[in-house]
Amino acid sequence: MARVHPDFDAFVRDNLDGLLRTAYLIAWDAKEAEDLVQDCLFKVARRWGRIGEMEQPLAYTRRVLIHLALRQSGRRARRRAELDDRATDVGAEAAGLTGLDTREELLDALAALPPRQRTVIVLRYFLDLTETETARALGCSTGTVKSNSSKALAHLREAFIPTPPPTEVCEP
Amino acid sequence: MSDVLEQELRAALAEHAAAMHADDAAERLQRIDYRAGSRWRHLRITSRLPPWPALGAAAAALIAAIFAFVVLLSSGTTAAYAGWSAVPTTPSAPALAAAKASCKRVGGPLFTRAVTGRLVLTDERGRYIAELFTSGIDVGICITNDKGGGGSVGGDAMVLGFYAAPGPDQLGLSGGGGGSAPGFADAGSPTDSAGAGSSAGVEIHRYGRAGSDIAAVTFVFSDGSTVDATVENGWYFAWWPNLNQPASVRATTRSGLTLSSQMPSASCRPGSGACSLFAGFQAHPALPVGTGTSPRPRPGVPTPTTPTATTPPPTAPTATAPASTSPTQGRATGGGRS
Repeated sequence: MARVHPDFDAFVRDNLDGLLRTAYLIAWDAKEAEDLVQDCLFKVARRWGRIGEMEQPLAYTRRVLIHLALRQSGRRARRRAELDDRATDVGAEAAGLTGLDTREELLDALAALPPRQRTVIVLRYFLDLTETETARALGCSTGTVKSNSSKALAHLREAFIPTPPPTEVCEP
Repeated sequence: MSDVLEQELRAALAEHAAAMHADDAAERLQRIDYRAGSRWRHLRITSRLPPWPALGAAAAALIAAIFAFVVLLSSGTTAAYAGWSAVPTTPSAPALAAAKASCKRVGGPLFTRAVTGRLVLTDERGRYIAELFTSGIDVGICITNDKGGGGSVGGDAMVLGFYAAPGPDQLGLSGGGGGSAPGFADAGSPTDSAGAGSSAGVEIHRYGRAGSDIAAVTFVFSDGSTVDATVENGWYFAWWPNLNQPASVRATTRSGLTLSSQMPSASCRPGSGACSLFAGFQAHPALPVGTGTSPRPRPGVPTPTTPTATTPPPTAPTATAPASTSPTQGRATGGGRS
């Protein structure tokens, strides 16, 4: 890696893995995650003189990453309306399903969430950010975070209702 | 219930994140030049390339530095690629001069470096003009629109050895990448650029050497839509305004023979069985077309033969060029350049 600044190089080295995995969970696609992180680092590198002086350069970098991811998801959504339709369908199906209690089904439900809702979930439950921190990362109010989180959890809860034990029906 | 869900959610996210093979990506990302001010960016070539260690010492002798960049001038509208056409046309001299001036103004030194060589190809698609320059081992690409104002430069430096001249009926699937339209390239803080202008578009371009007998090149997408490339001076070039990757490429020889080949996967790595075509680029710079699948047979159109590079057909079948449609616009066109 060419030297932007020794601190930047160290920052990238220390945080690249986390940024990649966060991007992966938000974008739900490994290649897109890589591209997002690449774009993000370009932007951060250009302003590293200022960002490096920040108290929490990682928090700022995450904001850049999230902003890029959500914008990219919007762009992709416009281009690939059919995929969004599918996602909506899956979400609708998930909402109507009960008894899905496997990890895989929960992941499917996560994948089907709208990007902004999934991002909130990732920030809250993967990065363990508080609502305030999540709001700061998304550049929105805590009310918006709560709303998105609530909607997302409602969808996921539908997909996570534990299967009730089978009830025996006695025929007379 | 909520606690159980939240616990399960944490576990599921951690598990899914752990499943990502982040090491390879991290290695690629750490090799990139992030120097502030560097404008070699926005082409997504790096993540599509084989890992550097895979290039052996022998291959290194053939390696040439190829620089590709894209200059995209902002229209400042949401429809960043409005007016794009799947079939290229020949730009007028004034339009070409204007495009060149725009490239120079926007691209600055980067453009100057890339265009010290020869202009080998011009490609007009609606209101967009692309120019492809070669300078020894460098390739420069510039795409402009007819507005000519504003814009940004993007690109990555890449090092490949793909550019040996192909045989007469061969096609080198050499270069390609994607770019981002302007309007966001220089976005500031995460908040101040949110949705600003929304002029961002995306594009994929493909280019390479074309054999002397190749008259037309067409990229075919999985939905059957096509994009015709411009073929000039032994090079071909095409771009389209989305991130769709073509499923195959079709070449037509001057005698009318149609040849086709599957495209390598974007995630191909040399050596893996499914990616033999891509790996083949390493050892055989010129990819013989016809090693992949044939085009889908169409009613009334004879299935073209797919000869090997070493045994060109003695006679040419009379395969008619199928209709071409844009993946985004659904235009029906003929093959080749109008």
